[in-house]
Amino acid sequence: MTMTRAWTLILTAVVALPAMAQERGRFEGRLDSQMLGALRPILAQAAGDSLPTGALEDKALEGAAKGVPAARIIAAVRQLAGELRDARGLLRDGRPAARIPDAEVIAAAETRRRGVPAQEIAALARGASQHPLVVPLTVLGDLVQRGVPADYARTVLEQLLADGLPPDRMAEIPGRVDVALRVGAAPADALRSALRGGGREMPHGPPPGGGRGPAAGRPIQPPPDPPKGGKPPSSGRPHGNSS
Amino acid sequence: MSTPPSDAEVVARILGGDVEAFGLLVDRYQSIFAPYAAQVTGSADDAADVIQESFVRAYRFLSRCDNPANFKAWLFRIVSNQCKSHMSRGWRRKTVPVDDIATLPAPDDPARDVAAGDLQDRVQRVLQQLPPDQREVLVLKYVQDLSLIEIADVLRVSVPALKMRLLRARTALRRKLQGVMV
Amino acid sequence: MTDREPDALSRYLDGEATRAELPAALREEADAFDRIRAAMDPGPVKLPPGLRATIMARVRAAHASPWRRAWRWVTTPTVRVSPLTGTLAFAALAALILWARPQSSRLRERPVETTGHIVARFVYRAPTASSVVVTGEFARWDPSGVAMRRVDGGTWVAEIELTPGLHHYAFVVDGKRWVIDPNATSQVDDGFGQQNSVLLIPNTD
Repeated sequence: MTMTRAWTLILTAVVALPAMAQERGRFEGRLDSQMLGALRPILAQAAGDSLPTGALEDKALEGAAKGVPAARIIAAVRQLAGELRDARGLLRDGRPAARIPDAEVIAAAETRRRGVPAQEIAALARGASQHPLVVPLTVLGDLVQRGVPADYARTVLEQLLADGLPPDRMAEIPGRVDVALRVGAAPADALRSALRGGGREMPHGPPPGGGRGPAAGRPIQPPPDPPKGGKPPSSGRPHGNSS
Repeated sequence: MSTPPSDAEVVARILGGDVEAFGLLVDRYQSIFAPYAAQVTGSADDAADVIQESFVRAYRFLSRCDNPANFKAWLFRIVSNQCKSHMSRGWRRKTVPVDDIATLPAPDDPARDVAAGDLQDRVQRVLQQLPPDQREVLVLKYVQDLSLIEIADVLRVSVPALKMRLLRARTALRRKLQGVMV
Repeated sequence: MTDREPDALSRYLDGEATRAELPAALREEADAFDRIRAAMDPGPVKLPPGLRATIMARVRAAHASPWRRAWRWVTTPTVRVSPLTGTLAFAALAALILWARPQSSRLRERPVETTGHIVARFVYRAPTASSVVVTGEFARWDPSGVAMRRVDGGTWVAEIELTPGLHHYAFVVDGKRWVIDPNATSQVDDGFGQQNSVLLIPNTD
């Protein structure tokens, strides 16, 4: 067999160059072709639904990194796609005409996963429709995981947004709630305490120099007594411990 | 519109104490070496490790770069050496084992290869089966598209020796691909 | 079977001859090789988004290390020292620095903002570990993630530049044990029966 035939024969085995090359780059060779085959329809459907496919890809890579069996990875990716789809729907309900950023869809799905009822997420999207939602959604999830009633937490956050509380201050709230929880406060009381706050005061009105909403100095009104018993934080058992 | 600073200018700034200027070199070269590192080491994960170590070394030993105008070749040499060290440590990540799906045929199974219908898949797999020094010259020449002189400079070999290595690498590549077909 | 590569083809494949200079009989083979060559290209290799940040963090640390500062100070041209004097001075300075080593910094310092990203500081206490890495979406869940450095008897630290937003991460101890960050504000179910830690970096504008 001459060399010419050798090279040409090799080539006749080629039918086409599929787009798998690009896919391979995306998954960086960490998922084999069987897994990719199973993922492809999920990702295609998600892309068609305007869902953040990057989050699905990351979930697959995460499973692979953690040594999770393939079937479970596929199931988790499928599950996440469903959660993202639902989350997008909730945000769309709250803001029918707006563009929904991927980051908010991801945050909303996670907030749902952390136990915040769907109607609270939709209500937040409606009530805070002029504000970016990643921070409020995440803080809402943090508060509900700590046992704060969801509707109260959502109302408080909406109020804080209307009062012009900057995102970095909002992100501090769960930590302040933890301080109060540690000294035995019930979750809703811990949130109230966090808003009054020691040290740097949490503003109850617009920030200096501007902002919209109620006049400065008006505190956030505590709600009527929350449903019986603040449920304990459901953060779950840590996976490991420092050793 | 001002032209971006040359590598020599950037190196001078870094050696003068401007550590942030090193970011310019990272931005310029990290993606350029990524395919090379990924193919020589066999995975993008290992490539990221190698690139990280290479840049940090390049910073530490920057004063030893005798021709800052040709920083790229100097850095390439570091990357090439880091690839070798990385592989000699025996860390080669494998793809995820798919334990609950039917056993996959071995990579050289012709039945599977014909069914796969993916030339790139086969060529990539065969590349990984070649000895590292052959894989390296094939990637430098045919993926990174360096000239013979540039490759010789990176690998610190003579051009005739390089041509011999390339010829052997092409022959080995062809033989392995043929083995797939038979 | 002969498989000796014709010299003319070798010259072309070495880049020393153009395609036009190839004998017609060898052009088909050259085409075949060009397709193989195209298949060698793995396409864009996506590096972890945090890689640049990790590199710069290590480079800055190297720049700021007491040893390096001392060496630069001792050998700066305005201080005219001979190599021997420089070395002796450096050794003396090194001894001073070692003796006066600062305490390791406390946990969870406020993030420092640089160039639109935030430098997040990850801290994990594991006195008996031989390696700890932090990984997450920012590293595409690379199991070898970003290597943390040991700063005292048992505390491991890494600084990573991250964009504002929601980040999930975990530590991997000794290359195999995945653990959450006990200092994280919250944890979330990862969908695999385990948990990830959550880091929320708000926009500061």
